Amino acid sequence: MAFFDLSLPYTEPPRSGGKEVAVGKTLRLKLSTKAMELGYVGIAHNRTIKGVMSDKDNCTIPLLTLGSLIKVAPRLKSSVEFHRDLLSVPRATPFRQYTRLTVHVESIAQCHCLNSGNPVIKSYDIVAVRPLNQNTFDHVCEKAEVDLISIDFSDEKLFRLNYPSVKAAIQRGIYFEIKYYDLLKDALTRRQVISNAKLLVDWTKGKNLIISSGAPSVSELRGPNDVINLMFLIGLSSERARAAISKNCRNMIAKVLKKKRFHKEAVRVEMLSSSDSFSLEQPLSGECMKWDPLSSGEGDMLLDDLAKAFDATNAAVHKAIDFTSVLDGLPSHGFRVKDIVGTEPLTQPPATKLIDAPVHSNNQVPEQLMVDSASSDGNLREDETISQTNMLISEDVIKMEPTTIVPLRKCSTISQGQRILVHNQAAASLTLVRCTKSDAVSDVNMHIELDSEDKSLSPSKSDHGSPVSPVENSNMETIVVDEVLVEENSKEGAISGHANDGNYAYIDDEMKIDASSEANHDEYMEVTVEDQKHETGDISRLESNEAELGEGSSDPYHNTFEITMEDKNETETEANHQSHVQSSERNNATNSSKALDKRSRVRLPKLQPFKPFLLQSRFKRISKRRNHRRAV
Amino acid sequence: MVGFKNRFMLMEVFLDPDKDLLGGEKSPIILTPFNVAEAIKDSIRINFGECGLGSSLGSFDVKYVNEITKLCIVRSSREDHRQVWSAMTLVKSIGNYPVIFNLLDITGCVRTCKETALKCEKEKFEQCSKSLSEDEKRKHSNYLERIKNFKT
Repeated sequence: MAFFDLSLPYTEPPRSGGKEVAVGKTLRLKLSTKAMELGYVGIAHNRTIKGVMSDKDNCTIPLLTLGSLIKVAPRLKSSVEFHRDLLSVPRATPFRQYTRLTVHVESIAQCHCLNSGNPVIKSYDIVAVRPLNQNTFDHVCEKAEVDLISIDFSDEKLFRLNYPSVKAAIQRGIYFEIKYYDLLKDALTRRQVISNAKLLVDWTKGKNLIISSGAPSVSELRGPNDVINLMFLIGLSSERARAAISKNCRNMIAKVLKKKRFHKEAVRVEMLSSSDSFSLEQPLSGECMKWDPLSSGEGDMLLDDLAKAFDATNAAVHKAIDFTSVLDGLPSHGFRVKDIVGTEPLTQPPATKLIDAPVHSNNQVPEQLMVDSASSDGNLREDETISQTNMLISEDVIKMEPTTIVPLRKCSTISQGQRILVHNQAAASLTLVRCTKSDAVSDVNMHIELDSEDKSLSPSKSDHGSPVSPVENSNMETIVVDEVLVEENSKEGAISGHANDGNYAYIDDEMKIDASSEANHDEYMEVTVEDQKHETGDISRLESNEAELGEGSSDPYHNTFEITMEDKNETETEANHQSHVQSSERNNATNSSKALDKRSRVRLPKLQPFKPFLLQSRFKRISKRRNHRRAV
Repeated sequence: MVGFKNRFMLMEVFLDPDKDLLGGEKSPIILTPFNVAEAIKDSIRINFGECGLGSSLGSFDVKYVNEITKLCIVRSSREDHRQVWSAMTLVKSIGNYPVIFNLLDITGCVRTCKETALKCEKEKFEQCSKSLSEDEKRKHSNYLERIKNFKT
């Protein structure tokens, strides 16, 4: 359970500078330190705007750095750990900072400024609104595009909240905020706040409700437990209050960040740094795969870093994920085939490729962009189609089917000149298989990576960005069936000898390419090339390929056998032969077991309809026995 | 079954949070059970009135205050403990000195309260042990003894 305090006041320093700047900064530092010490894991620097919004109001809030925190409180780390342990918050949780804007609105005209296109609003993480009268409150609840409605309950002449508006706001997913600073102020305001806020608590029932401090000084901050208990005064049960200070805040931040930093709330595009070497052999390092829905980017502080910073006594900010606007860096029309085909001819022998590889990778890597999914905590928001294919792929991949299928399909259609390319693809797919095997914990991002790769590999896919079509699904399934057929044939022993040979040849080649670790770059290159071909979309050709595939489910195999046999002759030397035999034996074992598996899988549905029949017979037997007994 | 139940609240007091963060400097006031109890009672009277004070006063007691690590244990009846607790949250000053009360743990029986208190004492003492004199360290060990012998 992580606790948040989403409104620590931030006062814009005066333009002239001077003493007030320093005062404001130290206050902010003190507040954040205290909040961190009390066990909060996230704060928001809240800036308040009254009157008309202008360009001056763009977000200029400097996030605090670890070094400054350490200067204020040298023993911070031990204290933070002590409190986190007591609150059962994991010690490693980073401390996050967000920026927030609160707009005071008096008239409906001001409300109209609050739309998603407003650049001022875009520059902040969280946008809150404080309606000052009845009309604006109703309007804000029903129309304005904000994340948070903060009502000043200490106001003596507070407008009447009305239920329909509150309900509408909740339905639109807008959160309400209660600041407990008002409760701490003095007896009179406390009375006001309790009487006003009770109504809101009653209506929201703790849903879409957020509690924050709004404390102007350190002595108004309270620990999370105390705040939860304090909400007992306004009639919020402790579970709901706990949710309001932790879970609701978390949900809201996740939602807001998704809206701000994702394309259509689902896709994030991120650039890999040019220094990272990228290869398909090694799965992407954990940093890229882990996705943190709450990360505030530069505002994240880790406790370990805190200790380090204290040791080194110099400022060092840890960047969890760099959120510099990567979207700008995207080429507007994707990749061009010519650029890459021109630099690397396909028929280049492997030896020269190896020499070229590092140079090419340097060129390529910055352009290599990773499409990541915005999987929220529960992976709930995933596209159904994608998840379906994921299922398929994850099933299939483990059984090494794509490695055999993809080359077969490709070989049947693609001319001999591109054979190396095909091999490399196969190798790529094999590496993908390995990825999934090693990461038994099915990481969603990983799967989507896989997905995209597979898309690029399979010829049926023409457009890169569109979701996976049902055709693709059915294709996969039919292929699986074909595979089964082949396997069964091989058991029966008709064409099977050849078929098996063909398969092994492929698997062998893959093995070989895998074994040479330097070839990684080449594989990667090849895949990207293929990718771009799809991007530019030689759709008609691909479609025709697909049609061919659809027509002759058995024929292509014959073709492929021949090709692959030739292949073997060309590429494999005798020295390789022995290892090849060994590996083929291994593969044989796996294949046979696989075949068995599939047979059982195929038979199952056949058995099911018989079940009632079987049961009946059993039942008959029992009844017969009974009859016997009776007769006896 | 016990008919009457107590709650023990292990509180931490931040003295003058605006000035020194993390209690590095010497504080001008000394926490005693008496002034802590007075402050809490005042707060109960202000927030819950005479009736609230009367009902909670039956079992209310400040059992233990450690002036060095600034931990204290407050006992209250189970029925009114939330009232007492929120009154403590609403305390802003002891005497004229600004303070914050922060709850570390809440327990239902003495034994667990002792255990957590000892653990917290240890950690807090480690945090501030560097700036302490010998005299204060001796005092602290006295306090630890007091916790160990502590009954209801």
